[in-house]
Amino acid sequence: MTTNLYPIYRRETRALFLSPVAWIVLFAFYSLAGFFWVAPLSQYAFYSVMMAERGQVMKLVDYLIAPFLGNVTVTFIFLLPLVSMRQFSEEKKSGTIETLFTYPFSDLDIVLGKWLAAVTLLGVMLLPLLMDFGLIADKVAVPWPVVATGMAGVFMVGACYLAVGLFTSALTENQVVAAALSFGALLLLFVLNWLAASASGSLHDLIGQLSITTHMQDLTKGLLALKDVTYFILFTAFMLFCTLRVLESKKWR
Amino acid sequence: MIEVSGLTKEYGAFKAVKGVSFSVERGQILGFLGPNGAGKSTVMKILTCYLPATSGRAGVAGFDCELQAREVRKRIGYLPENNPLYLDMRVGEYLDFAAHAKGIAGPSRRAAVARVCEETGLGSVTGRLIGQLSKGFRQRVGLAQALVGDPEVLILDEPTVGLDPRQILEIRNLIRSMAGRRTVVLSTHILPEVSAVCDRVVIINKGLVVEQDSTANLGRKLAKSDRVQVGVAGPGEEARILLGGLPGVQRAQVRSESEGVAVLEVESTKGTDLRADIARAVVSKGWGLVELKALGLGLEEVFLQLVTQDSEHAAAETAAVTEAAA
Repeated sequence: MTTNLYPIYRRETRALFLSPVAWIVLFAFYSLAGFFWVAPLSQYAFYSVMMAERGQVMKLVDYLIAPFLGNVTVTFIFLLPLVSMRQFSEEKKSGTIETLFTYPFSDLDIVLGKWLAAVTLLGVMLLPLLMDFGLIADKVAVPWPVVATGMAGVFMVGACYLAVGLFTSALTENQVVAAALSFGALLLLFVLNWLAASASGSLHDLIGQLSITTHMQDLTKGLLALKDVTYFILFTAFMLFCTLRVLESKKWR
Repeated sequence: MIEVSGLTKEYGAFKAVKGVSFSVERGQILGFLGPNGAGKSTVMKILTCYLPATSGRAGVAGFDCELQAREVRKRIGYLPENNPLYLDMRVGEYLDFAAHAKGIAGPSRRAAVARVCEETGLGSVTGRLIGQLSKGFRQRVGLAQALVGDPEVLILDEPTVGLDPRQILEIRNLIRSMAGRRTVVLSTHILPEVSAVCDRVVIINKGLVVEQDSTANLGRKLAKSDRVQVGVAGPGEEARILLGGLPGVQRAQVRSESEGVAVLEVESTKGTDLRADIARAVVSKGWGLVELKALGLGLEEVFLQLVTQDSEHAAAETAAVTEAAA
């Protein structure tokens, strides 16, 4: 069966970039990302000079790249639900979902097309951050491969959050409910490893491994470990699969 | 072109459609007539593969709506009830998306959109936001997105609802002009719409097909009344006995009696018009004949619900159809 997701992707991307939400999210994200860049950078600049006098080297990865990318993923928890919230809920509310689902698309085309459109916005959010590293490249040796893998990891985390958001958007016809649900779910997954600390044995491992935070620690340092990559890919695929099932459920309700 | 047999649909405990069967031939315009809540939209949703049927089969152009949904969807244009549209898109953009969705690629897409805009009279508003258009124009956009890509089958759920009389006429003419070229199923709860536009009618009520026939035949059936309402300025009981005794009368009963006028209902064997005989009998007794009116027939239950909004118009239309058929 041939796929027919490009028309959906095109319409969704246009709709996203023509909506004020996208621009507000971009504005908020760049402001926050700017702050999260400048704060550790000024500290790094200050302390690295002191350390250098003592003949020690502060690692850029540990003191700048990891905290910066870590904070960027925190902003995702608040901002990405706003990108995905209207994707299905609006169509449900306005009834356009009926025309959409009677065009010759498969359900998978629609889900993937919408998700990829949101992922495109995520790419637009992330790409300019590379400039930050470019700006300091003449002062310090930027480990570009680490930056690249770190950014790829952050991108993967964001794409996963957008899949969660797409799923909650398919659950309701109210955008605010969709955003609140995905925000709650993401925050819960983010803090889940606090629980792991109070558990012991295999429960400790289980909760720890389910938490997003656990799998992000190495990613922000530019380490793409197979177990973390697998976690995010499986998580994303699972959420997209759940979205498909929710959409299909209208057929047996 | 369209085959529906034994179709049922249950929403939980509620049975919306209870065994509907009909078929539509290529190039025919079928009117799907019924009061609100009769199950018209549900049947259309099944035909467009939006919902699966609980049991029974629906097929379009030889493809099964449930098993070969994609093939069916490629062949239909659908205007859902209430005409949902992306209000934040421009007309041209939206139609381009619809054409793209239906698999029309590259430069031929622009031509397809232009053609459909011309057909529906949207040429002057292609650059406007759909949300800023009047209801009439929005309806045309809905129709245009169904038409784009030249589908063999058009399924239109209440295409004229909420439009002003002139717009209704335009939309009807547009649909009428497709006769022979496209197979059209349109639903409505307005009787004159069916006689104005459709070749065939399926009347549906409470999830069941009540009647299906060609528009002309149905008009004839409706005009041939087998019940007559008589208003007599005289004694009701005596009038009942008199009229009940006329040849061909099966039953006569007094409906109401007030201020010296009795209203009676006279039932005759099907196909006989007793109005002249009744008039003669009443006048010969020296009573005044206040009213003499043919009433509805077999389809009355549905029909009454259909006609209430539009009764004058309906009667005139029915008469016109009968004349045309005769």
